[in-house]
This record gives sequence, C-alpha cells and structure tokens, in this order.
Amino acid sequence: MFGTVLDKLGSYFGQSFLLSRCFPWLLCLIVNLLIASIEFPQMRAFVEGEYAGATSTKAFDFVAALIAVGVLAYATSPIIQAMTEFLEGDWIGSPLGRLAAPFLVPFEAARRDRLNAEYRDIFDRRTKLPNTKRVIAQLRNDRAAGARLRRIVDVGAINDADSRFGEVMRHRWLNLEISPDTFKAFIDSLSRALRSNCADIANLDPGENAEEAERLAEIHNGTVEELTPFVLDFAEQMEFRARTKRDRDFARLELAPTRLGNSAAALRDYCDSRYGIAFEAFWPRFLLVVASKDDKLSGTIAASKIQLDFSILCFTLTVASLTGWAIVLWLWGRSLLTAVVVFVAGPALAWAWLRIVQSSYAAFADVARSATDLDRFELLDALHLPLPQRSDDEPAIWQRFSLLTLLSDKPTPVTYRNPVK
Amino acid sequence: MKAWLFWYTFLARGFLALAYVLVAAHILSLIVARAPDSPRATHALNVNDKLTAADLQTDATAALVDNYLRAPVAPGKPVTGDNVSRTPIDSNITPSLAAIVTIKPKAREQFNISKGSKVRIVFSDTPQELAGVVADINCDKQFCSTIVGLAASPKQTFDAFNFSRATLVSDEATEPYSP
Repeated sequence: MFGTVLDKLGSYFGQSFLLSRCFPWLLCLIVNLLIASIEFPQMRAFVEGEYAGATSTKAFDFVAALIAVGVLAYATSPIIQAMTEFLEGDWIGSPLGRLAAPFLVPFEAARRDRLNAEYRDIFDRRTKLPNTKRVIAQLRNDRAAGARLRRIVDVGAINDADSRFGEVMRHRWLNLEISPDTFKAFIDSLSRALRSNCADIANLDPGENAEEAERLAEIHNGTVEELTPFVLDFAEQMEFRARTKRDRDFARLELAPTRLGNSAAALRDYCDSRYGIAFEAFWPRFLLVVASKDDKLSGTIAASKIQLDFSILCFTLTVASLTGWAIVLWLWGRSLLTAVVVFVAGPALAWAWLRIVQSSYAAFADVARSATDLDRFELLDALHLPLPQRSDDEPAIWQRFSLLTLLSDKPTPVTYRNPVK
Repeated sequence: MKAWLFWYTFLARGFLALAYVLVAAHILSLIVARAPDSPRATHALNVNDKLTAADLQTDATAALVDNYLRAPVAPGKPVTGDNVSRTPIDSNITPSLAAIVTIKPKAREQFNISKGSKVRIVFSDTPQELAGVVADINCDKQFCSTIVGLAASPKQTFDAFNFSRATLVSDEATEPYSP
C-alpha cells in the first residue's frame, strides 16, 4: 500500500526528492509540533481542534501543510550538499577550521593508529602460524614413525594431546581465533603422541590397547582434516577483514578531522591507488554515463545516495530543532518535560542520526567502489578515449583525463577513438 | 607529544560537554523559576483595590478560558488542558426518534436501567411495545425521566397520554415489575 502511494507520488515529484528531501522535513515538523504541544497549551488546543475538525477542513489543512513541506524541502535542498561538505571536514583549511582541527584530528589519528595496530597484531599472529601443508606432512611422518612401534607406549602423551585437542576444537566450534602458541603447543603434543604410539589398529601387536590407538587416530584425522585448515583460513580471513576495515575507514596519507571525511578520503584513495582515477573529475561524469547506460547500477547508486541524503538532512534538522528549542526554552520555557526532551533525548537522537549518517556514507562508498570497478570503462568509452590494453596502462589514461578536465592542462595530446564502436 | 595532544583534545571536548551541561542547567533553572507562573492583572488595577479572582489571570488559566469542558469537574479538582476543547462537545444523544418515559427509581433499580440499556416501553392501554435504547436518564427522589431512542417507528399512533401511562422493562429482565 505504502509502496503504491510512494510510486504514484514518486512519478509526480521524483522518489529522490520525496524520500531524501520531503520526508525528513515532514518528520521534523511532526516532532516539533509534538514538542510544541507539550510546551504550549495553546498549541495543544490548536492540534486537538484540527484533529477534531470537519473532514473537509482537515483534508484542506493537510494538503496545505504538505504543499508547504514540499516548498520548504525544495528551497532548502542545497543544505544537504553544504552539510555533507561540513561533515567531511572541508572547513579544515579555513582559519576557524585550523582552530577547530586540534579538537578533532587527534581522535581520528588515534582511531587510525588503533586500526593499524589491530591489523599488524593480526598479521603477526598469522605469520607465526605454521604452514598447513608442512604441519600435515609432519604429523603424517610422526604417525608413520609411531606405527613402526606396533604398540601403545605413552598413554599420557595421548591424554595430553586429547585434552589440548578438546580445547582447540572448542575454539573452532565457537568460531574463535586459535592463537599460534596454543596451536603450536597442541601440534607438538600430538606429534609426541603420534611418535610414541601406534595410531593404526591394523599394525598393532595382539593384546595392545586398540581403543587408545583409535582415539589417537581420531585426534590425528580431526586435526588434519578440520582443525589445521581452519586455523590458517580463519587467521587469513581475520587479517583480510582488518585490512579491509582499515582501508575502508582511512586513506593511506590523507587524514580528515571527521569519520565521514576519512571515509570520503578512503574512497578517493581507493580510486587513485587502484586505477589512478581522480575521484572529483571522474564521479560526476561517471554518474551521467551510468544513468544513460546501466539502469540497475544507476538505481543502486541513487538508492544509496537517497539513504545518505535522508540521514544527513534528518541529522541537520535534528540539530537545528534542538538549537531552536534551546533558545525557545531559554526565553519562554515552562515545561520540565520539554526540557528533558530537548536536553537529554535530543542529543541522543542527534548522535544516533550521526551514526546513521556515517553508516550510510560507508554503504554509499562501497557502492561507489563497486560501480567504479565494474563500469569505469563506460566513461572512457563515452569520452571517445582508448581503452587500456593492460592494467598498468590505465593510470596514465585517467591521469591525462584528470589533468585536462580539472586543470585544463594538456601535457600530451590524446588520440580519440572515432567512431566509437 | 602525541599523548599530550590527545589529552588536550580530550580535555577540550570535556570542556565543551561541561559547557553544554551548564547551559542546560541554567535553562532548567529558568524554567523552574517560571513555573508556577505569576498571576497577571486582567485589567488595570489601582492602589487599594481589593483583589478578586476575576482581577488575576495566569498563563494556565488563560489557556483554559473560552474553551469548553469535555467532562464534569468536581469542586477542588484540577481543570486540565486535556479536559477542554476549543469547540463545544457534540451531544452524546445521537439523532433518533425518541420517547420520554417516567419510571420510578425502584423500577430503575430492579431492571438495572442506565444510559445505553436496551429496554422496551410497555403501555398499560395497548398491547404494543416499543423497543429502544436509553439515551439519557435523569432521576430525583420520586421519579426518573428517561429518554428512549426508538429502534423503529411505531406502527400505531401514540400520544403523550399513552406515554404518561407507560413504563420501561429491560430486555434482559426476566422478573415482572411489581410496583
């Protein structure tokens, strides 16, 4: 039902405008009306009067209010761009920005250091793990050596290996990391047990304890088939995730004063480091090309941008409303309930919106990365530029394009492909 | 150097948070001082004027004056904003063909008749009965006047004389009324 109404309205006004511009304003007006109803009895009486009024009056007032919201949303659209730049920390170069930078940058620097340290720590732990093939080969040799004994010599070694096996398998079942020291200690213990006992029932001398041999064989098989591959794979996955998180959150060199700014810097850095693309020159033109050539990708980019714009406008309006209400309460406030809403619930709500903005930006950046990976050649095609034959040819092409568009610099003449395709 | 910068930033942010708390506390203190609001004069007052309730008005009373009460208020009980409306409250008796029948309080008690009860109007001089719902009831020590909204139009003509000799029985009642 809601989807149908949205589609209908979207066909008139555009879904992007409705969702990312109108809805936040509508939400803001409703919340402010509710707060005003708490603070001012006259406002409450007005709302009740409207609610109890005739259907025709209500419908007229509702339509008038919606038109007002639409006009307000249209008029204030540029706020989103300005606020995005503000949240990205573009003000850092201004005199006020240089003054504010020391309050913000160290926290981001500490966060980057923490992510780097986490990654280094995981990397170190992974490199300390023994090679999977080598471990399996070593255990196979140990078992072969033990089989030549044809008997159970050291039950204590089997018990020790069994006990350590239970501990590391508990980590595996819980999908927890197994530290290199724990794993090495277990492998040494198992190796000792295999060397001093025969794990093959077929090779056992008559009268030897077959149950112990079978127990040892089960530990060995479980280690070779399940545990050893898991330990290294899990460590590699953790290392990959830590590195991806660091690369998603921060650029290699640039450090912005805000989390959002660093996400944006990481996106620019991704395009530059992988393909030599200057994001500022590439993205606006790329969007136009994708919109005309790939509806699905264009829709995906638009959806993530709508989500981002929605959350940014909601955050902006929340902060603006809270500031406005703080002034109103200072001058005319009488209700403690309103004060609690404004000074306690308000900042919590603003903080929640800011986190949503950061998450939305991260999601948008992911979509932008994927779109760049998949369709960047469409822009070269549209620009009549030759496609690179190899990956190391690509940065030079994008660099010439950036120099031409951003700086009007023409270092080397570009040969166009005519006609295209 | 790095640790110093970090702590400097941490302290600066703490200072900002403290400033926010102080501003909020200041505004809260202003709000507390304003409530309850001081009464204002409703008209010009002179020296030696003996003040009456009509001379004074507060924001709370100003917000209520000229509104309509939604429900009765007992003496000494608060009149709140939730209990008033800007427009008169609609009548609770819905439009219908109605009859007014007087019964004795004892009959009311026996049949447990109250507003909303389903009843039948029984006449002493004609066997026809009229079904309906009690729209309102107003009792004194001797009689109860009931307004009964009729479920359907009567098939014969009734006049005030017929109703003066009618009584009510509840549709749920099983025992006959004994005066």
